[in-house]
Amino acid sequence: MLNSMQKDVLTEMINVYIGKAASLLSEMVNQRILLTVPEIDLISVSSADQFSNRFSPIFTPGHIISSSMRFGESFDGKAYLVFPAEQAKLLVNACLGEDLDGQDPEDISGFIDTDFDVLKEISNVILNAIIGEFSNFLGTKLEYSLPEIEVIYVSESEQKPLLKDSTYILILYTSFLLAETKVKGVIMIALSMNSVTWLIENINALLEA
Amino acid sequence: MKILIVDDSRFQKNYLVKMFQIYFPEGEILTADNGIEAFEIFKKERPAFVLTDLLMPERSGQDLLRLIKEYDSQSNVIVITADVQKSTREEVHQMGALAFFNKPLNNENILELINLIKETAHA
Repeated sequence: MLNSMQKDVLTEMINVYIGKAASLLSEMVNQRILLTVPEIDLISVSSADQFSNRFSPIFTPGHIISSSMRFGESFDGKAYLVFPAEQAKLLVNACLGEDLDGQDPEDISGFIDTDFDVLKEISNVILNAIIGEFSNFLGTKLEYSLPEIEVIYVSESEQKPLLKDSTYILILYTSFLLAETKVKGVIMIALSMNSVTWLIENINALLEA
Repeated sequence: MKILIVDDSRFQKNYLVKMFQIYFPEGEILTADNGIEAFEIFKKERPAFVLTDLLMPERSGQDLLRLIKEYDSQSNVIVITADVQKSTREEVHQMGALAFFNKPLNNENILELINLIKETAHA
């Protein structure tokens, strides 16, 4: 799907975008954030079978929390910020400056509206920081939907429940490491075929310049 | 001086209210969850400044900005958003926004925001 030079350019762009997003997250949780080098791939849904194996830290069976935003119109798709449920609670508490105070982080019944509100705001900031920079790169204007939060149970047999409606998926995988809590998450961007083509054309133009 | 804070995120709203209580205690803070509620409060309370998010249910921040400017072209509306698009920044400036800040606000740009409010109020 991507040749090595296209992938190199896209990786460099994403590195910068993720770096900015991490800086924003750091300000929100008031902790240093360490990032792994993002893994980036552009794949079709039909070849996504290896997906769960490659990104097993988050797609192992269990509850996950997905916060997503649709974007369009000229460059359209959907962006996801996904955490295992127990790590999402740690992230919320870090953002609020609170301790767990004996709460079981794996008990998702302990999630309250405020927690989802904070997760929505985190994803709003993080996903905007990445998608908005794609918009700036392409010189277009995007409209966003409101963030949506879903608690999803990932079973043994179905480990890619988020991808079923998408044609192509630009996968960005990175792990956040907060100074005190090891919170890992996945950022995924699903793009339409036209958007993928447009992005590659612009990367090619950059390479030829 | 009345200041209206408009954001659908309670977390963000509470944070701003807390910051204003610390750094601008003389301000009277009003809050709204969306553009519709905010415009009603604006007409009734006539705040000196409106601080608004853009992406909100019911009515967006752009809609609110347009309504307020039609109602009172001299009103002071400041946009605080996660949207980093240059086109969005240009759009709201063309619509008459006084200033544009990206979320999350940190101590540095909170002080910049409050200084802007103080300077504009005394201009």
